[in-house]
Amino acid sequence: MARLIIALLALVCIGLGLSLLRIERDYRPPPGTLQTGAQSASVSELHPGGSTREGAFAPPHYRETAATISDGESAYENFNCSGCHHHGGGGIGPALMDDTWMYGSSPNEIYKSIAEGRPNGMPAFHDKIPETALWNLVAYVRALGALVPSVKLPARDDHLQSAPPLSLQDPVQPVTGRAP
Amino acid sequence: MKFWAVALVGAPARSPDRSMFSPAGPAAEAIARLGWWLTAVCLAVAVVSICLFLMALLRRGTARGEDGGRKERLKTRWVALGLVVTVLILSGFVSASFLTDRTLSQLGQQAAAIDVEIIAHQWWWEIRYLDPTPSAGFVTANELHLPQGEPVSLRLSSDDVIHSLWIPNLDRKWDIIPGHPQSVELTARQVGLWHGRCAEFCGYQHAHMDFIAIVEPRAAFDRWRVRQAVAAQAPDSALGRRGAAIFAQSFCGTCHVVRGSDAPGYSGTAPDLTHLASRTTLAAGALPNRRDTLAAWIADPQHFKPGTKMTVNTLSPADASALVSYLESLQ
Amino acid sequence: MNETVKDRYDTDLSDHEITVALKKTWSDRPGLWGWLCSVDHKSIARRYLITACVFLGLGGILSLLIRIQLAAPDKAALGPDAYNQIFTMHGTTMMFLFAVPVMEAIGVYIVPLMVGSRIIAFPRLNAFSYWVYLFGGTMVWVAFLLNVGPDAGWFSYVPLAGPEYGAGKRSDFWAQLITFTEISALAVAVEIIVTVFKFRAPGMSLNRIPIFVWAMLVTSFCIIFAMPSIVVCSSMLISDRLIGTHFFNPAEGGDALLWQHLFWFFGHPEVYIIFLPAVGMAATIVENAARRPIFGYPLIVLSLISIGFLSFGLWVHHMFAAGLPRIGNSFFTASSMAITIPTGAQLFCWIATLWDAKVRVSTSVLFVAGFFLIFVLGGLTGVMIAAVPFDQQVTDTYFIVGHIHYVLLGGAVAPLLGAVYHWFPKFTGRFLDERLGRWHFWCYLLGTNLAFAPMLLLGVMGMTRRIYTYSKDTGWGDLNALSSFGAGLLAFSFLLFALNVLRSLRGRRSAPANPWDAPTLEWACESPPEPHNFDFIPLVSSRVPLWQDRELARKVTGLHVDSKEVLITRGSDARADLREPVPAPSIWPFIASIATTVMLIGSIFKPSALLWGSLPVGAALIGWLYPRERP
Repeated sequence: MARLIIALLALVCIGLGLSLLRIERDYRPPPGTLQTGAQSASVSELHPGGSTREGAFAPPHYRETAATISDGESAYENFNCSGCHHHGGGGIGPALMDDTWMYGSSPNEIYKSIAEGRPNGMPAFHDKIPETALWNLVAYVRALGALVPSVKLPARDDHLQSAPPLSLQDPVQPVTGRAP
Repeated sequence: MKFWAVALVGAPARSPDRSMFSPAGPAAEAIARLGWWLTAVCLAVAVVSICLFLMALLRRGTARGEDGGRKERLKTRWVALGLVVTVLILSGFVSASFLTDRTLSQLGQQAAAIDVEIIAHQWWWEIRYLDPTPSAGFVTANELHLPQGEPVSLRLSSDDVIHSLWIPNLDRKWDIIPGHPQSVELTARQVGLWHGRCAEFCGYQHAHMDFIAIVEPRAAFDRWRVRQAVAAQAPDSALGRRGAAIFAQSFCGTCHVVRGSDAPGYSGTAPDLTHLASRTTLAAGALPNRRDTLAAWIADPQHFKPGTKMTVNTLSPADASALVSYLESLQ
Repeated sequence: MNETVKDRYDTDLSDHEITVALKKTWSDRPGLWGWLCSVDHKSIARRYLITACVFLGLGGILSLLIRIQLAAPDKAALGPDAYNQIFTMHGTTMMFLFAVPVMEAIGVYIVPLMVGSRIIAFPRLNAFSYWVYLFGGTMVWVAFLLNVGPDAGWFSYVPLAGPEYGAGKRSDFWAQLITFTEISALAVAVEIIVTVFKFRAPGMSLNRIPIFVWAMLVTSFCIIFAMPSIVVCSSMLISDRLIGTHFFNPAEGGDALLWQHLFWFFGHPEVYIIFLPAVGMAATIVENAARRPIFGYPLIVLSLISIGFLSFGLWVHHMFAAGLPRIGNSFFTASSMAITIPTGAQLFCWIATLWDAKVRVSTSVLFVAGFFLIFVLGGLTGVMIAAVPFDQQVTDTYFIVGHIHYVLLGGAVAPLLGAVYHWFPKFTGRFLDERLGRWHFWCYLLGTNLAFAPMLLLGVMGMTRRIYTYSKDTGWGDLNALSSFGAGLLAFSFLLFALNVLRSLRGRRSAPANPWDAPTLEWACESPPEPHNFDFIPLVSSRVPLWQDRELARKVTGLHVDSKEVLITRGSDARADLREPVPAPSIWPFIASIATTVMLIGSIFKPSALLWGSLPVGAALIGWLYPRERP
């Protein structure tokens, strides 16, 4: 009898303890700012002659979770990234699924690529895509480039299969520089 | 206690515009009739069987001791009678169900002059009125207008997960399963405003995926259609024009389409706002369509529908006022 | 040859020496090691019962959270993400971790006793099934507490639970829980079937098998035919989510509707898997209370079997709104209504049994009355929703929620509670308090009706299921508040029950072997039964053996007392056939279950886990099955 009560109390304590280890999912995206007016250009962290420090700056609300990657995948279709980059294989725009990152593969660099645009045709989306969606896109682009642990990745989407399953990719070492 | 009694008895009458037992169309009428019959007979059967059991339990019987085959034979006959009565009642039910189903099927096969395509999204309804003349067709959201007494053809499809279209006062529900588009017909007989909802769990905001079905006389319906097909006009006031500029140049316009404006808008990402101000509700039935609710919704959609895909927007008061003025001009 | 190994027959010893020797031979080893190695069906059934009660409590807490959130319009107690996980976990816990295992628990305990056997068939598999159930349930609850619990509903429709819309591992934990519980249920089903077919006491022909045993037998067959369907679809779901197959992807030739068919082909028999044992329990209580053999035994048995068959022909009634062809839907209307006939036949037989009997209305009988008062309403709402047009209005509304809770709380839980009051002296040697039992019953009855009758009304007023909140102008607030109050009362009734159980367990053992003067063989053992159940296997010549001969004078002799041995019988009239050695207590089921758990949980994250995880499983099975001179 006493053993039963102790066992139940232990269960409750374990349960409460586990609740502290919760894996948070932000289904309520954090606030973004509706930009009005021109944005000043910010300075890139790229330096000539070598790659940037990987993972140099990830802002407070950048999260690389299954939920944000999934949201990024739907944002990728909704905002027509596939119009130029297709489903990661590239077309008018460069491939996102290879290991070459012209402008860096850190979250901050990818964010800048999307928000401010890049030479040779990448538009600046900072006032066209809300910030939350931008960060989700960053997470998804990193997932396409096999920089995210496969356990966080979906195997497929509900459309025609256009690429091998993301969750079965081998991780790659990113290389910064122009594509050959 | 009295409150609860009144609440229970009067309850179905308190939501007449959402209740299947307040039919406003022929299909719902047929189903409601079936429903009344089923309820009445089943309640009677319940009362009889519970009474029989309680009598069996509480009767003063004899202690253990067999009294020969006569009692056993009598019991066998009563049990057999019970089974026969059960079979008869169930046959009646099956027939009633089949006949009602046939009525519904006949209702669904009338020639419909009006074609509406409804695409269900997480968590709003894209409603497209089709017309042989392309310029007379248009896209709206979360509000379905129906002419009184005339069948309307609905083509139902889903953009993402399983949803289900349900207007209790008018007709049964139709599950919209990706890969299984449905083509159904809906006829409404009574003029009024009826509530519809999504009836298949579809994610975070399944609770707030309502829409309004407005049934009006044919003439009024035609006038509404003509107005909806017209593109949005440029706003009159300076404030409105400033709001239009904000809309088109920022990420409002990336997702929401306003026909006739400069906004790029990808159709299907977010509700079409061309005639937003003509609608009764906002955010798929979550809010009434007023200036204050619209402003509050734009400022923080996550407060009303946490998990929805529209982000929180921090605007200066002047910009907010301009934007709302512009949206209110979209009659 | 070791001369000191004793191997005596019971014909060589006096009665007292036999009892002492059998007790020593059949007891588990002491301490934690003995507990882990136990293959005694009573010990394992006790664990099943306690674990199922813990899950009942956890699922009940979740239901209270739901009712708190829905008690008033626009409440902000729970956000949508938390609410979705909570209602999914409530359904999953109650259906997979409570309802089926608790019925199995009582079956595992009582069926061997009722057929006059000392063991359940495949005792080590029995132990394995318990551990797998425990670990699977723990896995999904740990996931829930870590905020990665499943959130797509207890039947987890795709595409919402699929790879695109079900981000993360949430639905994978659900799907893998299914694997754990189906292994457990299939194992128990196999054991019960073999026990009933091969381990009956000699003379217990088919027409002398107690009704509860028939019910468990039919249930076990239903499990064997239904579970593979959900095995298949949950594996397909994991496969889609983990390695990108397209079973449920319409764009690549799959079908989202396939999930519904496969799930409900299992899902409908599942509710009969829960219901049939309860019906068997209620029949046992009715027979006991009426003090005479139950009326219409052949009809009842045939009804049980036909319910088992018919339950496989109803599944589309969960899919009436899905746009399937009309004629297909109509067939399922007819079959769904038809299953009322055998159900009704049983209820009529019980009424006939009680009609002219002098009934002592004990708490068990009160709960059978509760069955009538609650289940009949639930079943009749079921008949209503068997009609396609009516169902197409009320499906996915609170009318269905009301219906399912009426049939489960009336048709499954009420007889279960009655059965606990009935068999508590047998399990523990103590009585549950009758007065507290009455309080428990009336709170239960009132709480159930207050909680779920408003839901029937809410459904026809348009309230859909699985919504985390609703607005004030819907007019649903009052009925929801009443329902939440009823839920609180129902929870209170369970507290009373827990109090009753805990208080009784603290008392001393005072129950004789057969306190109710009941007819079936489990009452021939001590209360609680000795490890070997029966000193002598009885010879059965009646359906109500203890009413025919209280002392069970005719019995089997000639079995060993120093080694574990059972008598296997054959044929429909249970002729004595073989003597078979019984497996000794073993740690291998526990080790195998750990290996299985590691493999299954690993395969949620990496497909390769199926490969390398199967090596320890293989090793454990080799250890388990390794041939020994004596098992």
